[in-house]
Amino acid sequence: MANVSAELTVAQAVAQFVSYAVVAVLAENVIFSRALGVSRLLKLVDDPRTSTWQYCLPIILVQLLSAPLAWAAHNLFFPWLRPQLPDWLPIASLRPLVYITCALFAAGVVWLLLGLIPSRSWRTACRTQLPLAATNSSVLGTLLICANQNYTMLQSVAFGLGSGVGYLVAVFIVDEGRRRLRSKDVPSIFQGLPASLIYIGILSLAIYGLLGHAVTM
Amino acid sequence: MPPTNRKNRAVERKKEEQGDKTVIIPQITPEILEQRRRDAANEARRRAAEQLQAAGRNAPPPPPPAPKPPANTSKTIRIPRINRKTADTRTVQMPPVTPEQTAARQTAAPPAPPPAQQTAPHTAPQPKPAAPAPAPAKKPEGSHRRTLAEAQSELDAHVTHEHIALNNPVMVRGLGLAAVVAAATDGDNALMLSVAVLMLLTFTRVLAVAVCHLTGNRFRPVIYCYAAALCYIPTYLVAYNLFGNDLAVLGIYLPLLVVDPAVLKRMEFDELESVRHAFRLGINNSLGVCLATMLVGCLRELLAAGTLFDRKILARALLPVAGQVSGGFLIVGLLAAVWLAVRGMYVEYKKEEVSRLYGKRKR
Repeated sequence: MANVSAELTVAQAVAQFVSYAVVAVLAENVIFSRALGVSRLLKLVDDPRTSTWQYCLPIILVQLLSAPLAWAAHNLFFPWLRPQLPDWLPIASLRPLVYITCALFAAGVVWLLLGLIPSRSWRTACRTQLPLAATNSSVLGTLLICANQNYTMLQSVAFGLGSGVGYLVAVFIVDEGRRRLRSKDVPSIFQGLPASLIYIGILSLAIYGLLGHAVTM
Repeated sequence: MPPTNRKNRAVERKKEEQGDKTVIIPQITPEILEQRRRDAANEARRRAAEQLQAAGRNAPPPPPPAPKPPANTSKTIRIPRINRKTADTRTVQMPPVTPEQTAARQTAAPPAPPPAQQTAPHTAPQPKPAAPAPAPAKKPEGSHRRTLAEAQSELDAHVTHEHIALNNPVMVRGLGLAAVVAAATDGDNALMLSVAVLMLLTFTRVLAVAVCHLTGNRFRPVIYCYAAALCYIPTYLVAYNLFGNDLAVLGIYLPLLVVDPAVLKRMEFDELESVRHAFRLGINNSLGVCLATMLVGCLRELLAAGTLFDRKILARALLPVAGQVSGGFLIVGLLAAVWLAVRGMYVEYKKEEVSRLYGKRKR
């Protein structure tokens, strides 16, 4: 009996993990639903020197590793810190400082992990992109969302992983759209940033229509 | 007449003849000289046109143009014998000689040294004696092109460094879009974001640059992130005192300003600016972000609810989706298109104005 319930719990956990990750990739995509990291994304698709994978792989890893750290900060560190602070200093003002520390710590671990990549050029390129990836709005945004929604550690990790993969998917979609938007049929004043924003806006509108509601900020 | 005297006379006559040849410089006819000057002027004009076409880039200034020679220059050369006084006077009237002209003359002129007595008048076409005493009226003509190039580069620098309108961080460079698209859904939100950006961006930049000076410009990403996170504390306190619990409406987008590209963009550049420069550009950038944020916020509120700062303006909402993230993307995209079009027209107008103004002076 105990075995059955344990199996169910594991199955539920896996299902929960997968569902949160899928929701983060599609329905709550960091780009299309919350516009997190969209500035970097537009720069990335414009930059032929930077590979999409070389930028997104560090993001995925940083999000994956920083999620449990942020969960620990939210559930363990902040409750301990709150009584220590003076009255004039609200704990909300320290959130970015703590979560950035989590992201940078995760970035340090990712820097070591990237050393396992056999290809030297890939390793170097990924490590070059790591500071930009760690300071991407989508990383800090995901950590803040997990904290605001009071996700469990499992949910936080799933959501972090899904957000990273969702960012990768968004980059591929926008990259393809950007390639097609270079057509001469696009009026000159719309070429570049305006066309990309309108394109992302239409995709975002489609997701909004699919969901039927806006995600919480 | 003794033979020695006759010999001396013959030598003197020969010297005079040689001197005459040197004075005339028969290899350079006025036509050749004029042709070379015309070629040099055409070349300089072509380079200036190329530079104008490559506007927007920081092209090196074109070489100084061939100054228009005065009409009497050819006379100076043509007169075979002139006394020193006349020659000096005409030498003074020579314009500053361009390197092209100097090279042309040096290749055309015979290498034989001129006779000692007639050297001074016959060096009139050479640049060296003409340089110390140029006519003051000719100097602006020589420096005129430099002024044109300077004006063009000044215009380019103005376009690049003016971050409020011409190189707006949001509308032109696409920075800080997350907050503008997702959080600036109405005028109040936009105002809260603007106040936060105004304090956060400038002080982050100044603090980060100051620390980078101390660390020898190393660990830039870490320094910029922590500078922004530290500056967020007083920013949050001030914003909380100003707006109270309304700040909660911004959700994650207020703390997200800490890693906003508009705030952290500078960390990607390797060169270390001065603190004063950082302060000036920080203010400039924050004003640009504030302008774009307020514009987008007010427009979205007007379209989504028909109100402006909660005051009824329109009878009904024209575009309710403008309040959503998708509507934010669309509105910002359309505004960016209009912004870029107006900016392009203004820059073109200024460039034409500069070239027209300085081009007229040239003639």
